[in-house]
Formats: sequence, C-alpha cells, structure tokens
Amino acid sequence: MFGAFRPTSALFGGLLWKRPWRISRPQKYRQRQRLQRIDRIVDTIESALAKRGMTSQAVEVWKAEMPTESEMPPRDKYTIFDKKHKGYRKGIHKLPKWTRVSQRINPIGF
Amino acid sequence: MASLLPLSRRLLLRHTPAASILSPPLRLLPRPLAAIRHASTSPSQTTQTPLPPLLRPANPPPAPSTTASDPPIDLTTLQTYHTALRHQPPFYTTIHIHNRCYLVTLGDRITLPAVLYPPRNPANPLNKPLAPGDTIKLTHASVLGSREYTIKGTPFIDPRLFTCRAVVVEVTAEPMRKKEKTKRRQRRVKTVRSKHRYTVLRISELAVNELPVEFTAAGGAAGPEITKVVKEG
Amino acid sequence: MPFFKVTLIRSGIGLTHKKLGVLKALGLRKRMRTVFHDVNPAIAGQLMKVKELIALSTTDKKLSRRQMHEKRQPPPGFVVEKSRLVEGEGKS
Repeated sequence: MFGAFRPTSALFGGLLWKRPWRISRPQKYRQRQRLQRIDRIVDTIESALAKRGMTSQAVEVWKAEMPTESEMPPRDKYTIFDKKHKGYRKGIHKLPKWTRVSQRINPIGF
Repeated sequence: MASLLPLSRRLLLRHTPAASILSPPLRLLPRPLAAIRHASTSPSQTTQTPLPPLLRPANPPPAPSTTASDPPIDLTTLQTYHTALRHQPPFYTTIHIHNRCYLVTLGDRITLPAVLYPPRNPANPLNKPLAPGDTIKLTHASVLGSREYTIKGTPFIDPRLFTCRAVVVEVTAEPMRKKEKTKRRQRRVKTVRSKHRYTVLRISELAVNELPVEFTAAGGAAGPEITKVVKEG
Repeated sequence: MPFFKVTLIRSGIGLTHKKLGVLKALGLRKRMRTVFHDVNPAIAGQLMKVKELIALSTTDKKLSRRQMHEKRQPPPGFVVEKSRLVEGEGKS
C-alpha cells in the first residue's frame, strides 16, 4: 500500500493534469480587474502626455490595436487560441505567466 | 471619579496602556463603541435613560471615516454641552501618542513602550530623546469627557478645546532578557538578549478650555466640524 | 510640472530580459518600490512595456523616499513645552 510503487492517480491513469481545464469564477473576476487596471494605466499615460501636448507611439499603437476590457468578448477574456486544442481554444490560465502578460486578441475566425 | 480611580490604579500597577486593560471582546469593538464602554465603567450607568431627540444616539455611532462627511454639528448644541462638560470635572481623555491610544485622567502614570523622540524642531538639532523633567503638551485626543458628557473627535478633537500636559517621570528599561536558542544535534547555543526601554509619563494637567470664539454661534463663520457631543445614558 | 508616480506591484521574476531591463531603467528594483518620472514619450514607452506590473498615477510633486515615509507616519501626538536640553541651548 505504501512505498515507492503505491497506486496513485498519476500511476493509474498515466497522466495527471493538475491545471483544471477552465478557470473559476473568482479567477475570471480577477482577470477582468487586471484588464481594467491596464486600461486605466494606458488612459493615465495618454492623458498625462496630452496635457503637455505630446503623444507616444506605443500608446497610440495599443489604442489602435487593442480592445478595452468592455469591448472584449468573454471568449477573448478567458480563453486563447491554440491550434492543438479541440475547438482551437484553451483557457487563458494555460498561458505561461498569464497574470503578468497582456493577451487580448486572437486570430480572426477562431 | 470613583469609577475612574480603580482604572488609574490598575494603570499604575500593571504599567499597561489603558486599551489593553479591557477584556478581549471589548477591544474588538469598533473604536467609538469601545470609547463609550470606557466612559461607562460605573455600574450605576448600566440602565439607559431615553435620550432627548436633540442628541445623537450614543450607539451605534458611525465609524470615524464616515463622520468626516457629517455635516457640522449645531454650534449652539456644542456650546451647551461643552459648558456642561466644563463644569463637571474631573475629566478623562483618550490621548494618542504615535498612534497608540491611552485613556487617562489627571495624575495617571502611563508607560510608553519606547524612548520618546520629540518632533523635528530646529531648536533641537541633535534630536535628543525626552529626558526626565521634560514637559510635553498632548495634542491629539479622540475622546474628552466627564461622568455624563463626552466630546468625540473625528478622528481627533481640536486641540484648542482642551489642555493636557504630561511630565516625563522616568526613562527606564526592563531587566535584560536572555533567551537561549538551540538547534538539534548541535552544541552551539545562541543567546539572544533584549532590553526594552520605556518612558513613563505623568498627566500633570487636564482641563477643558473655554470654547474658542470660532466655535461659538456668534463667531463661527467657518463652522468647525471637528467634534461631536454625546450624552452618556 | 506633472510627474508619473510609478509603483511596482507585480514582480518581474521570470519575465523576459527586455522587460527586466526596462524595470531596471525605471529604477524599480523590487516590489512596492515607488519612483517618480517626468512625463515624456520616452518614459511613456517604457511604462507601456511594463504596464502589467505597475500602478500608475500622475502627481504635481516629486517626493523623496524619506518624504514618502514621513507621510505614512501617524502624528506623534505631542509637542515639547519644556525641555532641559532645549532650554540649555537657548541660554548659551
């Protein structure tokens, strides 16, 4: 029963996935908060520059390309494109360092 | 006063801040409510008399953060109850020194768990700590009251409303504490020494000032919204 | 003159060397470190690089670390009225 060869779920089934396949409701909530916080930061930078009559390319490119949290569909908030997955989508929590990187847009049509 | 005396005696004996004398459930109360319990230590006050409609109910008072947005209190009311409070010595007050609160009355000895350094002052460039014999004036009080009346600050009472002075009686230290620290399977013994230093103050003056002109209804152009007067039950 | 007030609230551990370099250039060595920077496009570009890791606001005044520390302190609650030390200095 005990020892090196005791039956564990990993040994029984071969594979054990420790990351759940979907993210929980509080995780989704915190993800929205992070997205909104980044939106606020970009707005702060833009307005501070605008007060001094300046612009920044990085800000303008971001504004042109990236949707804000309210503009994003839930699909994009909580899942990302993955060519190897069934349905071409997997949970955003599978993305390495997902709480510290921006991942907002996905290929059109997927 | 009879109600406050045992409290001060215990203060003397145990050398602890007044807040820590309270039993744990009382300490967990939000501060305003706890302040009320402080005030009503005498058993005769346990029966609550119905409050006149003019007065704000004593419990539950709003938390300090919300009272800041309260409208300024009626200056006439403040004047009435301030006069009543002034003519009812002895007083007690809750003073705040470096964010620690101490409920004190005249003659109390309080032991602070530190060596007190005065606020930065060009007259004292070396910034030496307070020494025995120094007099300090306490400026931050959250509660000022007598047997029946209490002024509560939001969060502090205007320093013009009261005078509270203290004398540094003693700057002392506890006996050196030694604690031997050992690890398993090792002969080495580490001795940790600690010797905390204390400052002992005596409250030498506690008085309620006359109401400054700005607070009276006649001179109160800029309505001060610092205080709130409640009558204890 | 406005300044960006930047606080690092998420660590840069494990991120790309480019982002770590930006954090270093901004002076954000460890979490909860607050720095002030001028408002200009160069700084804005740097902030955009690490926007996921920081908290940002604009202020009119640049504070030193000591000033920020003193702002957090509670009031001492007393003033010295009579001190042997101060009196002695006054007489001499």
